[in-house]
Amino acid sequence: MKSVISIFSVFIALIIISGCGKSPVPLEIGKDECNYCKMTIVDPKWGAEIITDKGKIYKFDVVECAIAYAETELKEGEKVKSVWTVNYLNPKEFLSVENALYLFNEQFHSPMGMDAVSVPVLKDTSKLKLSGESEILNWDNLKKKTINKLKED
Amino acid sequence: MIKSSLNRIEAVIKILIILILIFYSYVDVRCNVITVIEHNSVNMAVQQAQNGDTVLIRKGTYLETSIKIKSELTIIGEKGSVINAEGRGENVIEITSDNVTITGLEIQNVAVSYVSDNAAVKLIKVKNCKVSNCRIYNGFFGIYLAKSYNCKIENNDIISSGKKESSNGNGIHLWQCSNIEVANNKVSGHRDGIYFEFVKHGIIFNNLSERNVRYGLHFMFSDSCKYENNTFRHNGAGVAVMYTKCVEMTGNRFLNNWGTASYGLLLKDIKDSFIKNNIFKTNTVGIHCEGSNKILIENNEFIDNGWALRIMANCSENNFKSNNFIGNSFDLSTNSTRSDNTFSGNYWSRYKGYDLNHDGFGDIPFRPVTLFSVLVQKYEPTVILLHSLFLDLLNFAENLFPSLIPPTLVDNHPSMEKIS
Repeated sequence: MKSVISIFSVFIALIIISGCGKSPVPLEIGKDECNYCKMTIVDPKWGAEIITDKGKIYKFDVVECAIAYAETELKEGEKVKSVWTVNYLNPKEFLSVENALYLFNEQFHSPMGMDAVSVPVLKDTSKLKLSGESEILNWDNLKKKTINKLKED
Repeated sequence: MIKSSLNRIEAVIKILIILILIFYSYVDVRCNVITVIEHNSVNMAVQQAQNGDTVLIRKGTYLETSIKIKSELTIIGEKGSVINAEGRGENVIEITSDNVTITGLEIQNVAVSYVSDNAAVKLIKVKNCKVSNCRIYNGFFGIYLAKSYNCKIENNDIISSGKKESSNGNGIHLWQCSNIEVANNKVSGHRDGIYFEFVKHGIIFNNLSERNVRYGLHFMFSDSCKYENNTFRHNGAGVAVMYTKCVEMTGNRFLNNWGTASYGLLLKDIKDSFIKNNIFKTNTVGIHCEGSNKILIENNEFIDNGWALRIMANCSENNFKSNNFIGNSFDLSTNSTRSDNTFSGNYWSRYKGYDLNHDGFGDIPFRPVTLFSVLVQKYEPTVILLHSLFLDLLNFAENLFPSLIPPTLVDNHPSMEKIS
């Protein structure tokens, strides 16, 4: 009986922990829809999530959409707790946006036309086979750039 | 006097003869035809060919990839000529020269890549090219145009078995192009059937795009384009037109786009466009409209959709005129109580009014938003009450004393007859 109770309590604990929503959940490629631009998420190399203080998760096809959503469409009383972006070099992994760098290059055809990818701080960029001009921004500057572009439109 | 004129005539004749000789020698060069037979290399033939030559590929299977066309060639595939890349290399045919024509070829099994957008035929920075009557089977990307203009993509059959979304590119993909004609193609099983990003003056007509994982047709930042008489059916979500202005959408058929996040047509941030003479049939949502202004929606048919129209609060000055709404579960839903979109002269199969003065229009206004659609918009699970007597009563009561539904969303001249 005791063991049943302990197993049961472990289950309950697991359910509670999994329901907390502190970390991002994997994007369902081909099924999930971007909360901002409404596009179906189809490219695993890009993607982002916002987790609110109440644990609600919003999914996006690219990190620019997450910025735009947080700027314009967040419901009243909702606060952004954390923002995550898909690691271009390892698409199964999410990076906290503050820990990522944003690399702009025409060769990356990202979903919303900004041609940028999120990568961890890199020592070696040869893996990316870059050609032509590139620009690297950190999170704050990416935010500024995206919001400026939003205002222009 | 006569002598000098004779001299002159002689000179003219001489020049003419020289010109004719030059012309013939030129034509002679142009007429070079290089024939490739099975077990020979297409790539070798293409590299040997000069500007203006024709490469004729005879019936047979050629196991080749990464064929780079750098001169102005015409490439003709005989019936039964197949280039099979066996999933190796990069682009199967890469065109970097102007005035190239490819016709009649079959290309199979393009290499799936994680970092580069490999295509069966890729055109890079070219003009006046044409790809026609080709069949592409399992192209990762089918036909891909980058920074090109004045090109034609016609009568191609582009099929992908499309098992996994992530290993799937677009059928016809245009990026930063202008003046491109995409006509009479059949595209199926890709990520997006036809994809336009930063395209100006593109025309898409008479195509069939079906069973694509995401959209049948996808517009991003592509101003002044039009698409006509296309059929989009059984796609993940029909057609998406996004962040674009001046788009003409006429005579298309949006059929059977079912699913929770599925639309016939998704409009997101669209301006100054028109949607005329289209048919929206059996889609979850006929048109989903978000952030879109000044669109004329005229003479369309909305038949048997879940929602014919879903219009979000940030849409304004859209004009819905003379459309048929027949047998939709919901004609219109919105998340706003105010609206400055106008509805006039539409035919609504749910309209139960009368026409005493026989002018062809109902005497009492029609409210396309029912109380139930407001409820469902706010609390989705209530959709379970669909077609219940309770709801009919509720809707009836709300019709008599409107309180929750947007008062401005009304068709003051609903047509009594179906508009032909």
